[in-house]
Amino acid sequence: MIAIMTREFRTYFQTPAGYIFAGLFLLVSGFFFAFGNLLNDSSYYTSFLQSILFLYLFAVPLLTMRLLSEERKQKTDQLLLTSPITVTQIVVGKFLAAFGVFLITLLVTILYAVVVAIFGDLAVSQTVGAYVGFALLGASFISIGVLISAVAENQVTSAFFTFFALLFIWFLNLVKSVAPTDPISSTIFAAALVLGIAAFFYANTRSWIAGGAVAVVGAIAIVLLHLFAAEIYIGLIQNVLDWFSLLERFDSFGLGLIEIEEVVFYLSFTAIFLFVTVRLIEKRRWA
Amino acid sequence: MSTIKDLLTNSKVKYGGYAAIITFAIIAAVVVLNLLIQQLGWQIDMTDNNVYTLSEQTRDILNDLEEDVTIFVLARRNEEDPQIMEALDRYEQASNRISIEVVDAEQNPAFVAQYDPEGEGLRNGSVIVATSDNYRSIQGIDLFSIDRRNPQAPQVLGLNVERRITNALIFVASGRTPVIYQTTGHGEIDLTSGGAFGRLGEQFQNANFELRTLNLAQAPQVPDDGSIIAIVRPRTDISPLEAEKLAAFLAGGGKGFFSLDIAVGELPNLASVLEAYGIGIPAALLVEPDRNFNNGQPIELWPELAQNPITDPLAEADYRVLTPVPRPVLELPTKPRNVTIEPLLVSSTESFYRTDLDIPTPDLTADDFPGPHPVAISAVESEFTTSEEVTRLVVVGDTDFISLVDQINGNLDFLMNSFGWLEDQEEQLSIRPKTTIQFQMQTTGTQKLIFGGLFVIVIPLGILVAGLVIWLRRRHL
Repeated sequence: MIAIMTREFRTYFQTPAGYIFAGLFLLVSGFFFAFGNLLNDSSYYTSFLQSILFLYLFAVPLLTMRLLSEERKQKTDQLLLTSPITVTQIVVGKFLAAFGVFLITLLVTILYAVVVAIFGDLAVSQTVGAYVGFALLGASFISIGVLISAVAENQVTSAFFTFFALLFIWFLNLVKSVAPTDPISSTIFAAALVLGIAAFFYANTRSWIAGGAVAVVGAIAIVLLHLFAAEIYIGLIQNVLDWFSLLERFDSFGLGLIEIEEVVFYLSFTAIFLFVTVRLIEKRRWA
Repeated sequence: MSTIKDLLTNSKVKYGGYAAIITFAIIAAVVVLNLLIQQLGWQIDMTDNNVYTLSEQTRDILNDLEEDVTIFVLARRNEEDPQIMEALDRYEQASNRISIEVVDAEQNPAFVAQYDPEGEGLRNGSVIVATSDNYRSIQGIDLFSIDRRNPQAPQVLGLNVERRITNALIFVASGRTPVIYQTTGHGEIDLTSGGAFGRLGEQFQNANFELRTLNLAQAPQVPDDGSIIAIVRPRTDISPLEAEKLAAFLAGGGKGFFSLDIAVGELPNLASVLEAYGIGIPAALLVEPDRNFNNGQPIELWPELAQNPITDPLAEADYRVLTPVPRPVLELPTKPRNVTIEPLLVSSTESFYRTDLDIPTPDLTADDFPGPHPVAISAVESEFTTSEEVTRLVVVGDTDFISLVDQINGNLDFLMNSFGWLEDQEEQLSIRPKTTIQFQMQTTGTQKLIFGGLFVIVIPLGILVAGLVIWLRRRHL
């Protein structure tokens, strides 16, 4: 795993990729710091971190696009998969390399905070909290990029789909505000969810029985919930979307509050995406 | 035609199904873990003054709640102020009697009208704290503490949520607004008046007090609904008849707040009422030569805070009270045994009071009375036999401190805490607005240019150029 990580990490800086990522990231964030804080003499640093969140949309695809897709295109994935390291080690190693490059770039922005501390009052602990949240959010986004680069055919499609996946997350909030809250739509939503899970089982097994069984169990669960806990269906769509709203979860970090549930959420989100990536690659072996 | 058994044993079903179940189970387990941790509500408050941590006082009030309370946040969906929601979430977590609901005022005018019978305009941004039969609405702007010293550019200093919400909780839980009667007819000042006293009236309202005026000479007595009588900066003494009515009110359990200065001189009738409680108000000037306790002038005092419920919160916040030109308030040797007197603000050991104001020197003379002396005191009278509390008094030997409440936090807190203590609302004493919003940086134009150039041009360009060099070099390998 360490070998994969160091190799991958070195690749970032032996090719222009790492420099382009770091250079562009710091260009835009420097710009926002200069105009948001420096010119206004504002020492409100967490607002700066909040204002550059959108950078992830462009930065993460740049960072993750070639991670696994390039191996596939160059056919080196065969080599990797047949080597004595496990798929998990490959995926985690590559993720850590990308995350490492991201962290190093983020470390440079601490210079901005130092400037604030010199010329004004920096809320130090609050800033540390915001950075923790920022890095955790970054890890979640990078894990999405890793997953997409594992299924993408080449770098371009990988970057493209990662961008749209992140854009979708950005628009979750909008979707949420127009989503219906009544129990009927919620039930339809729950049914769609069950169908999705059933389809997942069918796709993995090609067995109508497995898929059907899941659908039946899901349907029974929906009915039982209607009978015994009907309140769950009020605003269900919002609640589910809320739960997946990565960006909204950053809010409390920006306020200077580290909520353990948010930390656990980001870590589990990252872990699940990496886990699914591993499963997908493993599936290629026997599928 | 394959049988069901075949279907279930074919390798794709076996491995695929196995893999799918594991994948699904692990994801489900992680989701459940997250939901469990969400229930715990653990958090680390990184803000410098624990903005998102409830004070001990609020926790006590929450523990004592006997009714369910709903906090309605008026806001358009997804447009709630995150800081306010975070702060309110702490209430919900701390007590299962509290629930928070977001209501869009624009879409539910009928709902809002319930809580705004006078149509004063409860808009999105406001918060309503309600029990089944009691409510208090708080305007959105009041949830922030705002510095209005410059009326053209008021500055948001921080969050005031806890103070407002907790006071509203006390109110809805008790369902009672104590009335303060301010006497008139002796040139007193009105605590609600604007001008130099700024938003003091609003402060009293926020602390659940209702301020009314009362001309004691005309009224047959202090009305029964009165909880506290306040005599603030009288310019003449009260009449013997008024003194009688005052004494009757206090003997009947009414509380008293007195703010007196040296300019009014002797107050024989008022003094006779206070004497019954062992409190002396000699017509004297308090002089403070110790520079640690004066404001540059020996008669402008920053007295020491004594230990008591009124001033303890100030000491905690490192606030002091400025009392310009005070007179001493003394505990008399003739104090009845059923009265407990505690000093609130005390001058230093170097201080003294002087009754003969014609002495020209600011130094101690043989005619002066050496200190320390109290500038303000509190008194509690209890029944002799049952030791049940009868009344509470606060006497402050200064009036100018009231006009300084806008400038000096300690003065405001001292005044409000005194009334809070009189009304036995000690819980709400020490909740201060908490600052979250940071202030300014101070940079010169050149510094802006240097750092802006460094961050926008030098660093990013340097990295990009390094990338270009490496790329070019490797291309020619």
